[in-house]
Amino acid sequence: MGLIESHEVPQPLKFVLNWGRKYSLWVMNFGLACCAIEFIATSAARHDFIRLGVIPFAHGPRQADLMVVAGTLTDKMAPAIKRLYDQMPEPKYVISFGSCSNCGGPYWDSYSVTKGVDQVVPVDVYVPGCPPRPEALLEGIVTLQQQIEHESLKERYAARDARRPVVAGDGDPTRHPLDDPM
Amino acid sequence: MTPEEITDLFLDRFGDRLVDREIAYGQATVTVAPDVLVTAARVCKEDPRLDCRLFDFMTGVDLGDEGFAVITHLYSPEQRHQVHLRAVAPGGREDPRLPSITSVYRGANWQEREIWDMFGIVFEGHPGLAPRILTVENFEGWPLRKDFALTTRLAKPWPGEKEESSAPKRRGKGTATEAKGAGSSEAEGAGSSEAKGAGSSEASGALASSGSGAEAGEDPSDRVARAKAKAAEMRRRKRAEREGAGEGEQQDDHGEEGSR
Amino acid sequence: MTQAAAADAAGGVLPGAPGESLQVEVRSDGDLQTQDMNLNIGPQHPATHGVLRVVIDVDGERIVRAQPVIGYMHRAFEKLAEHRDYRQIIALVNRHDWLSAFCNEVGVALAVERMMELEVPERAQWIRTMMCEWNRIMNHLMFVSSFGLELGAITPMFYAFREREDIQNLMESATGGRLHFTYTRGGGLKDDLPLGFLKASEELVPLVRRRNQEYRDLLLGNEIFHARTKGVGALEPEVALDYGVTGPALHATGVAEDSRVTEPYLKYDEVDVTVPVAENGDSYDRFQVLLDRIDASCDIIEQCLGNLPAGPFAAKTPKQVKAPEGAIYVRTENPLGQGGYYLISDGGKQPYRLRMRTPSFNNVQMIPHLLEGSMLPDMIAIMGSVYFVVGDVDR
Repeated sequence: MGLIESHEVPQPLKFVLNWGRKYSLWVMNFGLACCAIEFIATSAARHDFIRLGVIPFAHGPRQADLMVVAGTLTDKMAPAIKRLYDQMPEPKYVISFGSCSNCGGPYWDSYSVTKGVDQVVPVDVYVPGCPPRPEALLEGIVTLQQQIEHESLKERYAARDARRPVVAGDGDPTRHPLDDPM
Repeated sequence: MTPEEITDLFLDRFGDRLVDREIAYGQATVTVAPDVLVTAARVCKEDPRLDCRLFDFMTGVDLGDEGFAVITHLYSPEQRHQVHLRAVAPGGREDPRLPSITSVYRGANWQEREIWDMFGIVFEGHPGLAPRILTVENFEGWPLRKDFALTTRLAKPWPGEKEESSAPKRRGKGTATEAKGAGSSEAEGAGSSEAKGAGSSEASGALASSGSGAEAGEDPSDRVARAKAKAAEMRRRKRAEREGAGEGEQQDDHGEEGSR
Repeated sequence: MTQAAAADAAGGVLPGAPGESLQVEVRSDGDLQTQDMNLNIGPQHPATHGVLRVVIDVDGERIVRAQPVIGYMHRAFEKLAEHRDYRQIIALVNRHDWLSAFCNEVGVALAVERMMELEVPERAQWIRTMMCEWNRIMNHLMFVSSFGLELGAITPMFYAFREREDIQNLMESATGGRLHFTYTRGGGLKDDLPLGFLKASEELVPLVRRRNQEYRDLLLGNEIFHARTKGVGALEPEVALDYGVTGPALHATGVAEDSRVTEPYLKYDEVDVTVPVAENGDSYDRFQVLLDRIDASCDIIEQCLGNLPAGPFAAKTPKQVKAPEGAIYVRTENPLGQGGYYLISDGGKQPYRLRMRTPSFNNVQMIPHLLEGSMLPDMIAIMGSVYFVVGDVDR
């Protein structure tokens, strides 16, 4: 893996690599609230995102490539989501599904809701709606796949390193106050 | 039993310990003195005429200067009547205390924990109110008290909010970026806990010492007042803009709804 | 006793090579030294049915102590309701129990209407009744599917979502929402039913009935299902009432307390409401009651379709909804149990205090009572059959 991180992969190889990655996204449903129901609806027979290569049978964060945060993130829940994100292997992607996880949604003035999951983990695709329709999640997934298709792993890893590696239990006061492990 | 019969029963049973009785919308509310609250709950459960076996819910109410009241709602599945059992916590706003009724109804356990979490009412005899049941464990302040302000709201007015008609019409000087800055400071990690506590006067003392931001030494109540003033400024400005554009904003979509 | 403990007791050697049967000789003077293990499950765990955390102490496979930790979905509805006006809280209250959105919004609308003494048109009331029942079926289908999933049968999940999608489409055609309908307004409804709604409903009801029978055959007729649920997590009626448990969990114990019957609201006094009950109060009974309730709801919908009068769908309401000073408590039978709204008004356009009595809060509080003393593998069969929504617990 070290080679991919440090060197740009030749174009044909990159194409094959990304093509393979984009159609086997093992997804972990971080179902928090209402949106989780729409996530399940998307995985069920009518909308069926398995046809896009999204596989909702990841047994846990350690087997997952993609985390879909569906629902309201509260301050009490934030450390857990951070922890599970840290357990996911690189390269990992996050879809923020629904207004609550985008920005707090209808609870924008609540004292207990984190105003957006992007304060805790980096987000690749935002899907708006309250809750978004299953079609919107499909659109979000396709957008993510396009992003994966064109991305360079070297750049992704470089960006990750620049972002300061995320370490569980690292008590940096500039990050979320509930960062410490539970 | 009819609500009248229920209140009469309480009057017979408790006499002068019955502080108040009220019937509204066919529901009886009896206010008892705090020292007989547990007895009253037991009467509700065990008196065959009342027979309120279904424990419904408990709630706290902020009464302003008087302190807090706790209302226990009980229901009888057989007789199909309900009782609101009410008690005003002695101790005012500083130290509200009430006896716990967990010995009578097991369901009161979590309900009392929630009321303690939300209002800070201490229930004596409860098996364990801490840790906080709903909010984060290190949360400061009692959220459902009326003096607990939502800081996000102070910094950023609700877009659909109507103006007070008495507000003077003049173009304010507060800029949008200023208000935005105040809003996002709450969102940022470092400011979060500080901003949260700022609304509650309870926590202000502890916060002043532990505040981590640039305004650590400042009195939090000043900050709230400033945020409030800023919000009012924003509202005035918006209103002035609206009126300048000639939009009446008179249409209330709900009113329109009803006339259809 | 764990294997390691057995090995310790046997003098550090675990006899028995692969293939041979394991024989452990226990040499001990008195009682075996065993240790209780503390196990944290959740907050994000498939067994806990949402973001609920349960801390349990196990002695071998037996649960000694269980303590649910809630609050991971606390979004401060009651505080926010004090900052919204009466129209806005309708959009707020249908989100705390996201599987029974319509029943919730009706509850709070009823509270406001009763305080304002608004006369709601007949047609609106009948439509509300019908929509409540459609919502109830949708909710129960979700739990039918998830309970199957939790016991290891993934099929019901995919099956039940067919009907859910059908019902969602139907309700969406009238309300515009798939999950959060926000169809109720103070004094009536947002809009009238669209063309073709009644016909589609008439066609959908027999379909749901037929499919419900399929689930009955698929799950209740399954031997493994029987083995895992019969006699597991039996709840006594007195304990249930003491904790304030309502809904299917209470009905399974034999108490038919249902506010649609005991304190009818909307048009429930003009239709025949069957309240399915069972006797033992165990997981099996709770599930059976759930399936029976789907059939009962189908009956009510058919009666609503037959009785639906013509007329306006909303009353004339004042421009600004202001409830008069006072307090009122409205009980409704939500899909998961008794929902209630205790509304205190100071005469303003916002509630002074809105207390939501949610069925899941009381139901979850009771869970340790069932878990303590039962086996660890039964935990999922118990928690999956008490039927709660985490947002409804934490609000």
